[in-house]
Amino acid sequence: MANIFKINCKELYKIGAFFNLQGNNLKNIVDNMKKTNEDIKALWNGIDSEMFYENYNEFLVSINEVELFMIEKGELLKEMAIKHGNIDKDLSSNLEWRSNNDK
Amino acid sequence: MNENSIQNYTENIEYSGEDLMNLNSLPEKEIFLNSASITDLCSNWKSRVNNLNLTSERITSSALRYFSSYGILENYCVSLSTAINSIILTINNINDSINNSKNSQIMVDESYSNNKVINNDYTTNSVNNSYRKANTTVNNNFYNASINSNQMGVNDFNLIDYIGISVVLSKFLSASNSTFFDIVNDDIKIENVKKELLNSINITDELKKSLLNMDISALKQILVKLYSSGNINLINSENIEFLNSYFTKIANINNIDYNSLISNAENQQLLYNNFNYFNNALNYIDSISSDNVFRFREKILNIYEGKNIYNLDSNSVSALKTMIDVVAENNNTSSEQILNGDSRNYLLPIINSKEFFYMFCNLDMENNQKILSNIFYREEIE
Repeated sequence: MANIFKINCKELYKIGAFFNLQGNNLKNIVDNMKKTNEDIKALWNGIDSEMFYENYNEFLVSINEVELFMIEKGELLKEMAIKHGNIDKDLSSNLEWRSNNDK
Repeated sequence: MNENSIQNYTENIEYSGEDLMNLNSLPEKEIFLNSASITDLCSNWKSRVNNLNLTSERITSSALRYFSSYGILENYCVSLSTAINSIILTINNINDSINNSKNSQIMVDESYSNNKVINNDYTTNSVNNSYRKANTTVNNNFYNASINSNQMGVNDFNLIDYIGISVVLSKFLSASNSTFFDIVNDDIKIENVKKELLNSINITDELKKSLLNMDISALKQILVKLYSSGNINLINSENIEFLNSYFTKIANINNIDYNSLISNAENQQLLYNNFNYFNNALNYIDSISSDNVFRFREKILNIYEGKNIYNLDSNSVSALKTMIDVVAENNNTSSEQILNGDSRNYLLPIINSKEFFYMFCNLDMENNQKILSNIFYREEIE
């Protein structure tokens, strides 16, 4: 027997919205951190400064991966909820149309 | 509600206009996903997050060490590390939560398959009837009916049994470093759990009688149901050790022998009161757990120094201080280091077992001592 997982489609949409929101919050934070990094670079000269800039930038890029991942998965879950949530609706309106025509 | 429940993450969202419109247009119905696709999604998710290697060590040992050379840092490093760890923890918790829900559903599906009970009261949802009958999960009525077929329903348990089962399962998890679902998916382990339950002095005779004739499949169903509904709660070995140390400290403060505190009848009231103060303090830590590291530290420090004790009574304040002292001793550091450093990081692991601790709040004095005594006497012998 195939195992299946059931979830209320509104809850699924909410989880998607949660991921999306968290991803966007993270994006705003990372954008500010990038700006701070640029500001530091402008104020601070020397080898340490360059090393810091590069390391920090690399770190921000990896956070960027998390942020994109969360936004992407959030959208996916929301789309899934809308698509599956509307299947019965589409089916029932189709059936209604057919039964009216059959009469 | 389970601490990793999906709803915990979604209940306080401020939705955009588009989200609200979509949510209002969605029907209140359940949709079905194949478990294999969820397993893939979760493992892919986990591996991507883990591969990013966003640990606080990485942050502090690479980029931010240049900050540290210039003395900017400590608070910034700590708050950034905490924020990143919190994001990773949240993602992994949601991942586990989805996985656990899926596994719980699989168990119910299997119970349907094994029992082959024909019942027409299926969930009515998005898939057509033939698909639903072949693959559907079953609703609680059916579930309860199948448990009753083994002469036992979920409501037949009492609080002592819930705690007794929680203690047995917690020991299993700690000993084998497994998850709850590793245990219930393994017939041999479930057979061993059954033996332990039958031997446990924390399980009532009524439950033991029912367990004697219960088959493994029915026991699995009951455990999954109790776990999913939050009736049984697990405690990790670190927090068992913490509670053990905490009561050792309480015994010292009261100038009595540890074993006397947890087993002598004349100390029932003392133990009971102290467990309640402990839970009040735990409740307070839980209530500020979402504060940032600075706010959290300020609040805890205020309480420790008696400047602002919020709504805690003096006994619960003492309990909080004792908890901090115990955490310090267990981590080979001082209370001052914890209070002036990342106290949030040190104290939050305790609330991972809060549901387990809260179960004791509804016990009477005698049973409270009896169960604690059983847990810790056995630990000492081992």
